[in-house]
Amino acid sequence: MHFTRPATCFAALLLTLCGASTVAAQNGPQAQTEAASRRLVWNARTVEHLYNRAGFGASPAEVQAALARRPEEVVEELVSGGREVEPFYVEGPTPLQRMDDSDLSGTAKARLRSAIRNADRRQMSAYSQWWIDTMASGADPLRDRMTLFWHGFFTSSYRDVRRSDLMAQQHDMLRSEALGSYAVMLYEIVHDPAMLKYLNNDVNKKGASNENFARELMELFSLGEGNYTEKDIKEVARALTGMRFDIEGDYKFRRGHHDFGKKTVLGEKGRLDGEDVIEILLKQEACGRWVAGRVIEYLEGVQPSEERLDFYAALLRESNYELAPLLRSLLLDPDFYRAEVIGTRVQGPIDFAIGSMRRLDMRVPAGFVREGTAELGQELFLPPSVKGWDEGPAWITTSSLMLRGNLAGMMLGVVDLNAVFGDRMDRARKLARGDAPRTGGFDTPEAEVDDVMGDDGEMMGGDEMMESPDDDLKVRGKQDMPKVIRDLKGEIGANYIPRINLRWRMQRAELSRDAEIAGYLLSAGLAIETPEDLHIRLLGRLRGEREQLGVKDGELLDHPECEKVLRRAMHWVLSTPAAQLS
Amino acid sequence: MKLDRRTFLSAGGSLLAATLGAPQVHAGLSLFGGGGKQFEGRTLVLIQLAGGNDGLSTIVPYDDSDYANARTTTRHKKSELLVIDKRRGMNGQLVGLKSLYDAGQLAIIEGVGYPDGVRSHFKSFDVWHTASTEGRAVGEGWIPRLVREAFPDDQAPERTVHIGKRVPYSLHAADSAPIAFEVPESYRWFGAEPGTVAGDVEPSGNPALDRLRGVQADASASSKRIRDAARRYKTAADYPNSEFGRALRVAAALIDARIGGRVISIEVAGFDTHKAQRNTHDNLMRVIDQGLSTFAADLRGRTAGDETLVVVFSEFGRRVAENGSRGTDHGRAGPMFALGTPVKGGLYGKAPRLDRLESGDLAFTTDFRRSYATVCERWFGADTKTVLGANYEPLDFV
Repeated sequence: MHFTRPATCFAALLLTLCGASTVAAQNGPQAQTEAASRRLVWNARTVEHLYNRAGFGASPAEVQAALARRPEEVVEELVSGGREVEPFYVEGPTPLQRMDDSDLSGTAKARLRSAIRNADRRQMSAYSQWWIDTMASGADPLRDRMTLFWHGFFTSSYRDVRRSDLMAQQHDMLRSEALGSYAVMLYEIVHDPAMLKYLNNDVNKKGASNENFARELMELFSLGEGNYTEKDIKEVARALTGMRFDIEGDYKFRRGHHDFGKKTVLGEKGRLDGEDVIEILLKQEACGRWVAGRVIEYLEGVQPSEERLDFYAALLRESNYELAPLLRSLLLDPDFYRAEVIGTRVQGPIDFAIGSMRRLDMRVPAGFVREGTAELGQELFLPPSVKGWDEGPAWITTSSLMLRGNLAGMMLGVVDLNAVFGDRMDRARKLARGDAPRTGGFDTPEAEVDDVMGDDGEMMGGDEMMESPDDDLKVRGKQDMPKVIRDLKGEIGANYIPRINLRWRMQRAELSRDAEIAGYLLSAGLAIETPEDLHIRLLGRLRGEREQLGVKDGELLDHPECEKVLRRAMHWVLSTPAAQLS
Repeated sequence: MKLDRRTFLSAGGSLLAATLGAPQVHAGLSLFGGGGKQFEGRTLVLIQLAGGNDGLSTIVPYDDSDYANARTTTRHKKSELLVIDKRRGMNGQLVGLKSLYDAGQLAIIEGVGYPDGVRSHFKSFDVWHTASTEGRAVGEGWIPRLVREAFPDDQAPERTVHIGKRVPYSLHAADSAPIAFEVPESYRWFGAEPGTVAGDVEPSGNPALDRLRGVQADASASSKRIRDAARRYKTAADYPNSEFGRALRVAAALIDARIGGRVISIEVAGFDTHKAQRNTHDNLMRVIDQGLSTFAADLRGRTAGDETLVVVFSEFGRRVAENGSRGTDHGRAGPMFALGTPVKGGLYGKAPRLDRLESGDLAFTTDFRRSYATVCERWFGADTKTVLGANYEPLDFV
């Protein structure tokens, strides 16, 4: 979109670089892959597991459809990419952003900047929602799954980048290459304006280098800690000097800032630049191991054994960092379906939300999903650090477990937003009126030192477009209002009516007795096999509610309160510990 | 029932059995007997400055020519500082902490670090959080090990609490998830508390599920107690308008309500000042100062004040030389703070020398585990070796 990439030539160059043996690639790992897939048990449990991990879950109908096909076919469909998705139209730097504001007065300048910021936040928010809808559509499950992985791997944050068009441009690159080539992605990311900005390479210059990008490039993006020295970091920082971008979002090499001197990186000497560094990194054995290890750990939820890591690292290197062979082999590997892996991964907030929507076959406003998952600690395009998100058990604390249940309740229309956030809303209202001391919102401390952080809470603030300093009190009150309230309120306020008809589903499936209903709700709501005790407990709850209504077992569906009972039951299912796993 | 679940879990998995079984054995053998009566009501408030706090802008060696040469845009002149002595001045924003220092209630531990300091945020935090240079490979964070050793009989979920969103690995325990929340008021289930039945304690055969069930039980048990504590807390102290200030107010409420918080953890982020450091860092210092001095004032003169020790740390200090963007890159040694009425104020450790750098960084003079050892032995009466895996000489700040 913004710049031409010599990616194809680069990939060709890699072929010679890595010295890959095509023969080895065919007779080695791939032969093993085929042998392995013969031992794969293909049933509803393993199919659902595949869709949970290689996508964001599947409805019972999708599971049945896949069962009728061979595993190789299903995996091939995932790996080769699904339906094309209409891309979000990204507005580049706007006329406002291009405007020279040096002649403006202080107030006018502030007003202009505030307008730019608000418009840009709206676009970032809309873009996040577009992605959420795409994930929920199931059009291209493995691509979306891997894009989410790469977003946490090659992390940049809107908080520091401050330009939605650059974030979208990076995302577009990661998405198009998510099932393609790691090497191409690495090349692109080193030339990516959002990344160059995020890791301060836009101020890295000859004679005064900034090591931020160099360090993370090796520690997180390619080799892993322990596979380079501090001296290497300093030298790589020098090699990366001058790699910048312009206002159009095009990569620009600024010769004047580049250090053309001799450098030594991981034993290789020369007048090295950024491209040379990428080549050197890709030649390291550690690179294949790091990338393969991270992919496997993400998809399986546990670290691979040394033996399997050796195998997959070799596979990745032998295929010149093409990702399809790795993914194909992994998803057909019987070890991917071992007991240690199935149903044991704590779902991240996006997994939990999108997965619930997909399993329940229910559409929820993307804005609600965005704000809800952000509150649970996974805000798309605003990862907490350059390391992305910590996966697994780290997602769950006592409060996030509660909040997941509460958000599921709001989604199903059985929990009132005011009940959950009422106290905070009251306080915010008082603040807005100015009759309470400012006790502050929930801005991170950076908010107080950097105005962009304060903005963080306002990605949804569409109506603030024209705010002016005169509105200070009003605006301040608004800023103090916790983001979750303001935004959830906008997305799922009093007028929200969930689009789900559980009663109809029971009728269509001809389920009417408590035990049948409980079984259905659990299997639809959970990504894992229903734990036995859960069935007993849900049955107890259903029976209790039914008896209160004075209805006999088998006649619940005829009662006018039926849908509410079923939704409350589903809310309970999604609040259980079992619903947090996949 | 709480105890049952944990005992059951420990019988279920050998790893859990090892970690859970251990404290019971040690409690009997330990010199300190697993925390005596004088340690019973005590709390540690552990503040983590995330991103790598620039020690040279916190405790400033203003008269050192090497400092003046290395720092231009981030330099603090003597006139801008709160001078401690001929060599040092505190950052000019640390007004409240300076009065605590003058009152003998602030200990500054200088030159803190560890051998072969790592300059990665994540790896270095792992070292601090586990008290081991091996990092997460050793398993749990050091806080659960400490609390288990000091209070072997305490099974209350609130024994460790993190106030905030992201829980540091220091609180990571093998057998449970930390109690963590941002806002006490909404720390509850609405409408569909999953609830527990007696049969719940049976292992499901899925360790991940069993762990989550434990979290659920802890959440149920702690929800009301924490909300009540926050709601009932009355204070005259005017906490500052910052997330940090709010978190400290909640910490004070928990301590005041005596609901069992042995360790309360809070993080302040934003210290990774690669760019335009001066203002950013000064503002962060102000946030820290206002929060901590209000907290100290709030607790002073009450039993809660005598029983609360605050310790402040960061994963590393920053490079002595500035980078080219008016900021500083990752470095090594830096200062720690300990404060509160039980603290013996003053200077501890040893100021690192700017003329003897270790690849451009301040060399550490004082192992951070000496501070931890102080907390273990002097504050909680816990055996250092059991908690930290080795003995470290305590410092005298308590």
